[in-house]
Amino acid sequence: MRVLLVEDSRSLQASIAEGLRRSGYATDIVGDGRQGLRLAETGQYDVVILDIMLPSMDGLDVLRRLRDTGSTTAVLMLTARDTVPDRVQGLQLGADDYLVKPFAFDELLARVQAIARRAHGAAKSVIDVGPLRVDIIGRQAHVDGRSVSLTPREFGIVEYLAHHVGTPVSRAELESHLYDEYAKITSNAVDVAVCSLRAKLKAAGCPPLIHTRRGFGYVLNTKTRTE
Amino acid sequence: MTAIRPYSIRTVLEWRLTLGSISVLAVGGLTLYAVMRVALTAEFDADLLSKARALAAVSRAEPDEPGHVEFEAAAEALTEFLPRTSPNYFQIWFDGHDWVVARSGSLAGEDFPAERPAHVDADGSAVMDVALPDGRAGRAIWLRTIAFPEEVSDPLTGAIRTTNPIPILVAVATDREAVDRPLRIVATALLALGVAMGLGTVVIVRLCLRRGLRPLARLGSAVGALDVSRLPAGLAIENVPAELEGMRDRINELLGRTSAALERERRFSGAAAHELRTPIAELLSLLDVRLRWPESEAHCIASMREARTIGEWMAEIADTLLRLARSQHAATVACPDPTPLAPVVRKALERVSQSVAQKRLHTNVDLDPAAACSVDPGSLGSIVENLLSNAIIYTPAGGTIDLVVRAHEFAIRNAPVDLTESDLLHMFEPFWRKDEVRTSITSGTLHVGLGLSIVQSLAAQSGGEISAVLDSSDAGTRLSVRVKWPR
Repeated sequence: MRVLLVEDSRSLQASIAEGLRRSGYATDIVGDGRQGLRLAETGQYDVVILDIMLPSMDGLDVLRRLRDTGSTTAVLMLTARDTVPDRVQGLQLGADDYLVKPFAFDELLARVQAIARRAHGAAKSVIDVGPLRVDIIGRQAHVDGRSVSLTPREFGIVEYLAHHVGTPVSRAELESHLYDEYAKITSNAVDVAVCSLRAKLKAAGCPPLIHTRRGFGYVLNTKTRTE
Repeated sequence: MTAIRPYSIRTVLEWRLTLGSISVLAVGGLTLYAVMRVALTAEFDADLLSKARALAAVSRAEPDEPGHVEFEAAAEALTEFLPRTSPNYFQIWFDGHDWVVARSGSLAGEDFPAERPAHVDADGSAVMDVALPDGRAGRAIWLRTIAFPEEVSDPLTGAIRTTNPIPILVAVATDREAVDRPLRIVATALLALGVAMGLGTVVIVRLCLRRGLRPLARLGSAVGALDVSRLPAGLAIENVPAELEGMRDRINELLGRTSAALERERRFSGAAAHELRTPIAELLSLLDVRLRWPESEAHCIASMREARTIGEWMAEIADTLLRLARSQHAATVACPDPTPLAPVVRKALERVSQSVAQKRLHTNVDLDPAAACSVDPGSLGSIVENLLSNAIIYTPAGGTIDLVVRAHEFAIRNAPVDLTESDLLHMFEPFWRKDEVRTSITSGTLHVGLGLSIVQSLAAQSGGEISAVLDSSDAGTRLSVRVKWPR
C-alpha cells in the first residue's frame, strides 16, 4: 500500500510518514498543493492524506482538481478546520474521510486502513485465503489461527495480494505500492521479499498460496500453481 | 414564579382611546341634556309666571269693602283650573295671612299642595317641584304681588272712589309633563346615539390602530424573529413610516456592525484555534509514533528535542496572542512629553539586524533627527519593531526596506512577494498571512501573523492611524505601511 502525504508542517510530515512506514505503508511526502496534485494524479497511491491549508494551492482545490480528472484515489482530509461547513465542503468535494487536528496517530492509521480497504472493495477488515487470514487492521497474518511474524514489507505484499485475490499482480505494481520514492530498491527486492514471505508461511504450515505467473507477476489463490 | 405577560401597545391604546372617546361622548350627551333641561324648565317656569301674573291681574282690591280682594276672572279663562282629568291648580292668599282670596275648582276646597316658600326672588317669585294632589309630578310657582284697587266712579257725583292696594300671594301648579316628555325623548335619543357612537368608536379605534400600528408590528415581528445565532446583514422591511425609518436604519446599521464583529470574532477564534491545533497535532503525532516505536535512545532524544521546539513555538503563539489582547484592551495612555522617534528606530533596527543580515536585506533610513510623537516609548518601539519584522519576512532575500521617519509619522516600504490589492483588506486581521499557509517553527517559518494586528491596535490606542498602500511601477510592486499620529 502506498500513501501520499500532502502536509506543509515538517514535523507532521516526519512523524506521520515514520508511523505509516513502520506500519507497512510506503509513504511519499510533499509540502505544497501543486506538487501534491501532480503526484496524486499519477494514480499510483492507494490513499492520499491531504491537508487543507497548503502553500501554492489550497487542499480543497487539490481535491477538486483531482476528482475533475476522474481520479478515484481515496483521500483523507487532514486539517485544523473543524466547523461543520468545512467538513461538509471537503466531503462534498469527494473526500473519503475527514480527520481534525490534533489527532491520535492510531486513529489516523485506522482511518487510512479503512478507506484503503473500501477503496479495494473489501468491506471486512480480514481477508481469508484458504488457511491464511490477513488481518488488515491488526497488521497480522495467521495460518490456521496461528500468528505468523512478518516484516512490514512482507505484510504489505500479502495484504496487497489479498486485496487482489486471483488476479496477477506485476512486480512493478508491487514495487510502486510497497516502496516510496525514498526507498532504495534493488532490482530483485520484491522477489526477495516474496521468497521470504513464502518461506515464513510454509514454516507456519500454510500450503503454497503465492504463485508466480511468468510474464505477469504474482497471484494469491488456493487453486493453481504455475511455475 | 409567575411570568408577567407583556402588555400590548395596541390593546392599551384601544382601551384608552375607546374609553376616552366614550367618556367624551357621555359628557357631551349629558351636557346637551342638561342644557336642554335648563332651557325647557326656564321656558316652562316663564309660562307658569305669566299664568300667575294673569291670575294676579284679575285680583282687585275692592273700594267698597276695604281689605277685601275681589277675584274677577272670566270663566273661560279658568277652564284649565276646573276639576277634570289632569287639571292645573292655583290659590291666592292675602300675603302674610292664611286668608284665601280664591282657589281653583280643581283643588275642590282643599289647600294648595305645597308649603309656601320661605324666600322669593327679587321679582317676587319662587319656583319648585311639587307633587300634585292627583299624584302627578308637578311644578309650582309662588308670586308675591299686589292686588291693585279698582277705581269706581260714583254715578251721582262722578267722583272716583278707590282704596289701598293689598299684597297677595298667588300660587300656580301644573304637571311637569310639558318639560319631562321632551326631556325623556332627548335622553332616549342621546342614549341610543351614544350607544351607536360608542360601538362605532370601538370599531373605528380598533381598525385605525390595527392599520396604523401595522408597520410597528412588522418591525417588531422582524426584530423578534431574528435568529441571534445567524444574524442577517439587515432587516428586509420596506415602506416604513417616517417615525420608524430612523429606528429601522439604526437597527440595520447595528445588525451590520454586529454581524461584521461576530464574523471577525469567528474568524479570529477559528484562526486562533487553528494556529494552536497545528503544533498540538505535531506534538501528539510525534509522541504517538515515538511511543509506539521507541527504537533507540538517540531517536527518543531527537524526538524530545523536537517536542521542545514545538512547545517553544506554542509558547510564542500564546505570548503573541496575549500581547495582542493587551494591545486591544489597554487603556489609552496620554504621553505628555513627545517621544523622539530616532532612538526608537535605531534600537529596532539593531534588534532585527541579525534577520536583515541573514536575508541579505538593505535598509534605507530617511530620518528627521528631531522627529517625535506623543506616544509612550514602549508602544512606539513595539510598533516600529513589528513593522520592521513584518517587512523582513515578506521581503525577498536581497531586497530593500525603506524607512521614513518624520514628526508624528513613521513609514516603512518594501517589495513584498505576491501581494495584491485584495490582500490589503485583510492584512491587519489576526493570523492573516499571504496564501494562508499555516506554518510552524518546524516548517522553518517563524511568523504567527499577529504583528500587524498588534501594530494596528497600538496605533489606535495612541490616537494614531495606520494605512497600507500598494504602488506598482516598472520597478515592481512596493508596499507602504504608514502610521500617523495627530500633531
